[in-house]
Amino acid sequence: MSRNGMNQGDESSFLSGRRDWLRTAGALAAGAAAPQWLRDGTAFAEEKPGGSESKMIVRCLRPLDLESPVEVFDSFLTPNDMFFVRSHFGAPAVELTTWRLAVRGLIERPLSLSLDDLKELPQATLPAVLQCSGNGRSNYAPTVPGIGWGKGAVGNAEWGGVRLVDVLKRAGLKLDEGHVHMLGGDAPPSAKTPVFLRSLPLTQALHPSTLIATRMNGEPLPVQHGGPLRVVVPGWAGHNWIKWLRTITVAKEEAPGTYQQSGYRMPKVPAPPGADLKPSDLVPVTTMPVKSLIARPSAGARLKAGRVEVRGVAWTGTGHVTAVHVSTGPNAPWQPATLLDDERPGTWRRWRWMLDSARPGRLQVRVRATDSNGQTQPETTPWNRSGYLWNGIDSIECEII
Amino acid sequence: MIHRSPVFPAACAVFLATLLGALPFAMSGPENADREDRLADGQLAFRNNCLMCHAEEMVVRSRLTEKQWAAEIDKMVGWGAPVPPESKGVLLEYLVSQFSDPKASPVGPPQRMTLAEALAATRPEAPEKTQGDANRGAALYASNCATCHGPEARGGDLGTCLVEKPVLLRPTEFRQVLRQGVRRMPGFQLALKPEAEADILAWLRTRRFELAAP
Ligand code: HEC
Ligand code: HEC
Repeated sequence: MSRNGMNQGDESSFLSGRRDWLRTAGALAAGAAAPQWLRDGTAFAEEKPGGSESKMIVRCLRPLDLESPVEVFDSFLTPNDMFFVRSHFGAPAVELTTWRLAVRGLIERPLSLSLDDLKELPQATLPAVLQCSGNGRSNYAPTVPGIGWGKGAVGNAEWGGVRLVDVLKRAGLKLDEGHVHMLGGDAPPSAKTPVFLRSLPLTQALHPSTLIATRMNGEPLPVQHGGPLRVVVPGWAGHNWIKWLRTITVAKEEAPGTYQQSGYRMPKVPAPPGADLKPSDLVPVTTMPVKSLIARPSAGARLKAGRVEVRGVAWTGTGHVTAVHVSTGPNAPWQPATLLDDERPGTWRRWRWMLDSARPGRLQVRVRATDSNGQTQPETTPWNRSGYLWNGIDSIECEII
Repeated sequence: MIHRSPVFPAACAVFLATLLGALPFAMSGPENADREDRLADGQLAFRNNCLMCHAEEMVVRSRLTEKQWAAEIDKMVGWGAPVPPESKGVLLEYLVSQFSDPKASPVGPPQRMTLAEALAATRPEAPEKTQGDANRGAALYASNCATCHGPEARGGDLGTCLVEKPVLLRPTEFRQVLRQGVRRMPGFQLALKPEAEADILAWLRTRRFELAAP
């Protein structure tokens, strides 16, 4: 959408007087036939079919927040140009700078590494699921502030780059316990807006799967996904995967500031809306809970009676997915789906299940995953005031004809 | 402003319908006229204070209670939204009247776009041949822009942060913003010559977003 959200014409009518401007716009709106979603009052018409599957779902244009349509998840790797996009302040103009990564704080040797310096360190590549901590936020009732993500603020890519531990070793760590602060090149829109400064506990920063990525699915990491450098923390939700990484600071304490100290926290024990929570009742959002999505058929699909393969993906933050079950209605039995791909932490597994439907009519298909910690997806996720980590059972409706 | 509008005309129409369609113009009587006035003032306050850092989708696609909207306004004021204290009440009334009840004002289907289309508004333009003088630009910036955008261009009382922002790689758009202004930013068409615009751009391009080591 345009910067000011108004079309060219209204700028002049705006200047000619407030009321006139309002009337013109009101008449414009009244003249248009009300679309179906307005008439039947359905809040989430976007989940209905109709949109082209090759287009992203726009949640916000400035900063850019794009969601993948679920059909994209009918594949192990999510293509870069269909991978969801999220940031707080929008991508910086990375082309202005010869990118360098500064390493400082409680280390022996402060570093300023060029992209070429990073190429000389051992390279690592791994597939991992990146999911926004707010994915599925629109399922929470009562509604909460924040981008109203549906299902698709998630994707699985092959990330390539260097291990964060190798960079820290080169700098020479001075402590065994502590935190690694991470800051990107995305300046907040105002000097009063908190910077997006985040930290990882040292144990997680030293984990061999924690990367500084320079590549995504075999391509140089695209700017909208954090290029030239982005942190990859398999199993952990997206707010830890700092984009446009420029400064790493090793410190005893967690990062200061809003985005670490009060943002991205959830109550230890679910608390109802309006509950009075103290800071000590909250814990940082880290690993993702077990979750699955149906990629095919599409919601609202009209299917011929007979055999139809239902397919999708399932993942978890710690361990791996051990089972996926599908059912065809709230009271129908859960039946095991076939799992594909390796039992590998951090990434997802595809699953498939054969639907055999003889009877025409509407049909609900539900899916539920279980992981190696014995965790199974709940019917709905307990409400939390920022709408984090939704992992309720996924379902779609189709019609058998 | 025209510099981004032509890209998404359909989106604007949808936005107008959502944002403005539900205002209660048809009401009559002195109390309703008062309310109508307040809502119109609130809408103005929204336009003037809530669209400089993010697009309206951030707001108009939310459905929040009065308490939640009041908290959002306070949060945004703390983050730099220049809402005058006397406008807070009408802004709140406006947001609550339009964006609270998902049944009364359902959230419409979102736009669909390819990644390339979505990136079009921020993608760098071809690099320019002529380059400005950053030293001269520093002085021009200090006297013309710093009051709003802050001495270091990190954002001030009225203007947003310009450091490392994509507009710096979009000289045509940059010039258009400078000449014509955007919402609360005045146009400098008469005050600045093209060389001065290039000088300011050159200086802004040298700025970097950094934090002092703790
Ligand atoms: C100085 C810049 C700035 C201004 C002005 C501003 N906002 Fe924001 N707003 C932000 C930032 C930054 C975010 C976080 C964006 C993100 O995380 O995607 C945000 C997010 C939001 C959100 C999403 C929920 C949240 O808290 O993250 C809402 C709603 C919102 N703003 C409403 C408003 C309203 C209403 C106004 C006008 C009073 C306003 N904003 C003015 C910077 C601003
Ligand atoms: C009266 C205050 C004011 C002054 C003076 C001012 N600006 Fe602005 N400027 C703003 C505001 C407010 C915005 C955001 C407008 C909006 O989008 O609502 C803005 C936006 C901009 C943008 C677009 C930012 C982006 O990320 O797209 C640029 C570029 C800019 N200003 C440059 C300048 C320059 C250069 C000067 C000095 C010649 C200047 N401004 C003077 C208030 C001001």
